[in-house]
Parts: sequence; C-alpha cells; structure tokens
Amino acid sequence: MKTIKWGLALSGIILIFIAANTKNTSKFTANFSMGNPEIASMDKLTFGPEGILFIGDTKNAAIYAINTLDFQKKAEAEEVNIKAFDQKIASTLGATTDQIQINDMAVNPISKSIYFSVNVTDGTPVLLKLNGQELEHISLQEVSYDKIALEDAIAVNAEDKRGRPLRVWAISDLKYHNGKVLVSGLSNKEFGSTFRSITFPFDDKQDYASLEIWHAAHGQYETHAPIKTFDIIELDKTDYLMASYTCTPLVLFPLNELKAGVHAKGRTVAELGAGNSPLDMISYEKEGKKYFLMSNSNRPVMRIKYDEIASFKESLTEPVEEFAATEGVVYDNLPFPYVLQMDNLDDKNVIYLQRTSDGDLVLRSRTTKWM
Amino acid sequence: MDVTAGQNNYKKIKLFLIFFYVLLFLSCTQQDVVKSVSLQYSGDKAISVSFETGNTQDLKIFVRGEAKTSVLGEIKSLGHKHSFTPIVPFGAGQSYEIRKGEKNLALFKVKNQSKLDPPQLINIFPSKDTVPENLLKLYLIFSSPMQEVGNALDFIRVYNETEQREDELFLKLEKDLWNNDHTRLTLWLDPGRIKTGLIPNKLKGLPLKQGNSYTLTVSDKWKSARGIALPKNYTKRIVAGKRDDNMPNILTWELSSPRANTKDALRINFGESMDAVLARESLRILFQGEFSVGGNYRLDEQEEVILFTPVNTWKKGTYDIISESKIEDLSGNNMNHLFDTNTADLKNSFLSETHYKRSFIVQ
Repeated sequence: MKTIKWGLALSGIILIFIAANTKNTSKFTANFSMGNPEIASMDKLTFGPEGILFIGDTKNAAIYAINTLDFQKKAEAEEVNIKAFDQKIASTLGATTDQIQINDMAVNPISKSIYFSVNVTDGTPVLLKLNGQELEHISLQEVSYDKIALEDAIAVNAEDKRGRPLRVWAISDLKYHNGKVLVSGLSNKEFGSTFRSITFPFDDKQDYASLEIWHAAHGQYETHAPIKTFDIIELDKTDYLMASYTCTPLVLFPLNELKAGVHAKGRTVAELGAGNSPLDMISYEKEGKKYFLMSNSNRPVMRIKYDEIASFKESLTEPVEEFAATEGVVYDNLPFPYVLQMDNLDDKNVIYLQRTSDGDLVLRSRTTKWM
Repeated sequence: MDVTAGQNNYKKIKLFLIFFYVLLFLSCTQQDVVKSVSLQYSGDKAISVSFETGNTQDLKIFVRGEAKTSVLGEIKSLGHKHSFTPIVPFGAGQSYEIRKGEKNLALFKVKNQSKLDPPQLINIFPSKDTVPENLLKLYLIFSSPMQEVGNALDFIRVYNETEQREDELFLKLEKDLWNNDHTRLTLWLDPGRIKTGLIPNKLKGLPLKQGNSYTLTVSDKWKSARGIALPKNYTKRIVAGKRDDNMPNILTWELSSPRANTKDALRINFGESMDAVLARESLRILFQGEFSVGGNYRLDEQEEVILFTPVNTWKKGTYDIISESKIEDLSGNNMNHLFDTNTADLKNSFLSETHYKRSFIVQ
C-alpha cells in the first residue's frame, strides 16, 4: 500500500514537472533561460509570436526576447481614453512628469495589452503594462528570456583586432516580421547607419543589409543615410521595408533583397518637407483596403493608401525638381497633430499617445473607421 | 425563572459588548495609525520606507498631492512592522503620503541632494569659433551623466546674431544621441539641409549661413542624472566660414620627427580641425608594420593637431600611422567620400578602403 502511495505521489510530481516544462515552451522559447536579463535601457519594444516581447537595448547593444506569458487571447480591446497619461506614469513611479520619459509603446497582438517602456532621470528602465485604467509593473527580475548582441558589422568586416570598443548604434527602430527581428540604428559619431535582420529564435546569424537610397539631386545612390523609423508593408504579395530617413523622405525596399552583401536599392515614394521627421509608423485594414499611417514631429498623422504606393512604381531617379513637381505618393493629413506613439490595438482600433494643444498627454484608442 | 439572575446576565452581556466595542474601536484606531516612518538609503537613493501600523490593507503610498494614482511597489510585513519598496527609488526632495482610503496617515520627505557637486559642461566640440558653413555636428561633453529624460533641444538655443533671430539648426530626434554613460551628446545639424539639392536644403538652405555669427546657449535648467542642474548658462560663439569640400587626406598631414630612445610626442597636424571624437579613436601606430605601439592621444590647437605620446621609447625604424577611413572633418567628409557629394564628382565612385596608411621613420 505504501509503495502504491509513493508511486502515485512520484507519478504526480513527474506529471506536474512535465506539465510545467511543456506548457510554456514552444519552438520560439525552447532556447530561453530563466533569470534577470539585466537590461540597461529599453529604447524600443515590439511584439513577436506567442506574446514574446522584443526589447531593443542601446546601452547593452543587444536585443532581448522576453516571454511575457501574456498569451490569453482577446479578440477586441477595451476602449482607452486616459488624460494626463504622463502624470499617471510619473505618479506610478513616485516621480513628477519632468522626471520620466516614455520611450516606446507596444500592443501585444494576442492579449491586446498595451506595454510601455519608461525611464526615469537616472536612466533606470521600467516596463509597465496598462491594466484597465491602472498601470502594472512587469518585473524582469526572474523571467524566461533570450538575447542577442548586436555585433558591429563594420568592425567585423574590418578585421579590427585592437580590442577597441565597438561602435554604439542607438537603436532607432525595431520590428518583428516572419521569423526575423529587424533593427535599424543611428550612429552617435559618424554619419552612418545600420540595418540588420536577425533570425528568431536567435541563432547568432545576423544579416547586415546595405541599403542604398537614390540621391536625386546628385544623381547617384548613397548608402550612408540613417533610418529613423520603419515598417513592413505588403504590396502585390511582396513584403517591403518602408523606411524614413533623417535627411530624405520615405523609401521602399523589397524585403527579400535585404541580405548580407547585397546592395538593396530603394525607391523614394514621398517627400515630407523640411523641419519634419517621422516618429512612428503602422498599417491597418479598413473595408478591404490597406492603409499606412505615419506620425510626425511637425506634421499631423499622414495616411497613405497601399494602392497609391503600389501604383507609384517609377523609380525616382530624376532630378529633384521633377520629383518635387510630382510630390510623390499622395497622402492625407489626418487631424491628429503631435502623435508621439502609435500601434494597432486590435483589428479595428488604433492606440496612440498624443500631446494635445493644451499640453496634455493623452492615451486614446480610436476606431480605424474614423481614420 | 430568577428575574434577578436574568438582569445580571443582561448587565454582563451589556458590559461585555461595551468592552468589545471599545476594544474594536481602539483596534480600528490603531489600524489607522502609522508610526516610526523612516527611509532607507542606498548611497544617495531612497530605496524603501519602513513604518509601523496595524495592517496594510488598503494602505498605499502617494506622491504628495496626487489624488488617484499610487506609487507602484511592494510591501513586506513582519508583524506590525512594514517596509514599502517602490519599483524605482523615491525622488530626491520629493514628499510622499501614506494613505488608507481617503485618510492621510503619514507624510515623509526624501532628503535633497543639493550638497552634491553640480554637473559642468566641460567642452563643446568643435572648440573653434569659426567653422565651415557645412558644419555637420557638435558634441557637448559633460562632467557627469546627464538626465535621461526629456529632449536635449529643450535646453539648447541658437541665436543668429547677424539676423537677430532664433534659429533651429539641429536635427530633432525622438531619442537623443548620447554615449553610454550620458556624458557626451551628439547634435547633428539637419543633414537634409546640408545635402544640397534635397528638398529641405532647397526650401531652407544650409543651417549655417556663411558670414553669420551665432550664439549657442545651453540652459542652466538642464539637470544631471542625479537631478542637479547645471550651475549656469553656457554659451558658445559660432561663426559660419567657408564651405569645406575636401576629404581628409593622410598624405597631406604634417608629422613631427620623434627621436629614437625618447618618448617625444608624435605631432600630427591634420591641416584642418577634425571631428574630436572620431580623431581620437580612428588612429593607431604600428612598428615595422605589425607591432602595435601603445600610447596616449591628446587633441590640441582646436582639434587641428593630435599628439601621440608612446608608453615606451621610440625605436629606430619604420612606423606606420593607420587611420580608419571613418575619420571625419567638421563637415562630415571622411577619407572615402564627401558628406555632400559634388555633382562634379558624379563619375567618381566612392572609395571603399577601411584604413589608410602613412609611414614615418624614427632615427
């Protein structure tokens, strides 16, 4: 009898152990390990499959994949309308609004939860999740994670063995698309850029794409302009990188050409004018048609129809005067100025952080029907 | 039934109930009392607050005056003693309230850090006043890490003295370009305006206009990572000079002749001011083509000169100066290409060398 009891107990323990180890493990998280990833800065956030959150850390020059275990499916998100959102975050952190900075916002496409990366004056990074009207701290003390260091493409190629510190690339944008983590970076020294595509699950393989954009005025391609923000859009069943540059407008690159050793040539599709720089990009579908939204530092949110981009096929290799005359792809200005962050909340709603004319920072959801 | 006994029992129950209610009242009152509030510091950071109270149900910490949102953190209890640890340390000089529901039970204030040394702006590169009109960037060097919130351009003003107006020279980025410890900020003059022919350049011209002078002011409102403001406004004069359309060329640099068996500094005169950060990290010296020579680099003469002092004495023989091609002059021209390529150079393809070499002999 005693043996049976022990046998049952042991079987129970084994079953619990198996359940615990299989429940949250998939091909994506098989290489993950438990612990504190020791993230130094959370500059960019983006979600991948199964509630995996990617965090771009400029200080550690690394991308982290965190298993948030936040994968309870929700079809529709709740409506969001929170005023004085920076005040709310500041109070949550025991601080004042001038002592915090919201670095990025990302929506978990499965749970529709909204995550924020925030830091305080001394740079301490904090990950928060909106739960109803309140913020919740996502502790990274003991999480399941993986990481990949962002190697310096130039140093690797240059056979630099002097042990000097690698270049610092400020991570300017981060996206996950079809098994790849895509990262763009700005140099804090020379006028240079990096764009890389990293296979996920991480296998230490990083492709450094060399992107060429057409410098219309000079009549030749150049490779040194840095990307500020980007998105992936699908046109005619082909995925494209839609990149906005610090010194030139929106440029499209076929995603399958972004490989090591290949100089991908982009085509400019829109000009944004002087004194403006894009902040964030998202795409959405409405009544069977796809749209692309872009928020800007000095302009309202711009809306571009995918159809317009698809039909704008010519390569803009003409002198800039002619380009200016065509004005590139047609876009609509939506009545939302000073939108700092955007993301798709669900299939029918967009979430955005906006600085209103009276200086308030609001977090709002809005149906795409009215966008 | 004994009536007297019944009355006695009634009295006993009454007395017991009064006693019970008094106890309950006292107990409730004690629940709403917070005593022995004290802050725990780690270095100069207030990492937790401890206090005594009956229980912590519905007890929350608020920034003083905040009506709705409480501070996120964790309460650990041992009997009547409790400790609250916020997810980031309490702010220096900030007051907080311990509340239960609407009731304010205690107030505590974190000590100020005013005794700490204020940060200093120790350098602005380029250090010279007269710069090419196509200047690409500036570096601000601080003595201690600066705040990691807000936008640097909120603390920087540029006044065009010639045209008597404020100018916006710099590219506004969502996230500023700092080094890792937040002591060096890189500011780009809007590259879209520097590259001739681009629409921003056509509409607004170069950020700096040749012949104009400017005053750059860095505000004393700018704080360090520890929350201490700069002690004063800092200013720098900038005069826009001639355009620089030449790539740095290692073969035109003037070299001194250090003597064998000495630690004479090797003096490299670039013939123009260089990007201070890139100049310091782009050079190395080799002996006999393979042995790396250790030493220190120091910029001089407004970044036109760099002095290399070897750790060990020079030996007789051939040395090489190896410069990475990424080294830039003030206009962002490197050894492979101009920042803003001239239409005259259209037929020339970009060079792609990673390094350039210049030999010298020590005798």
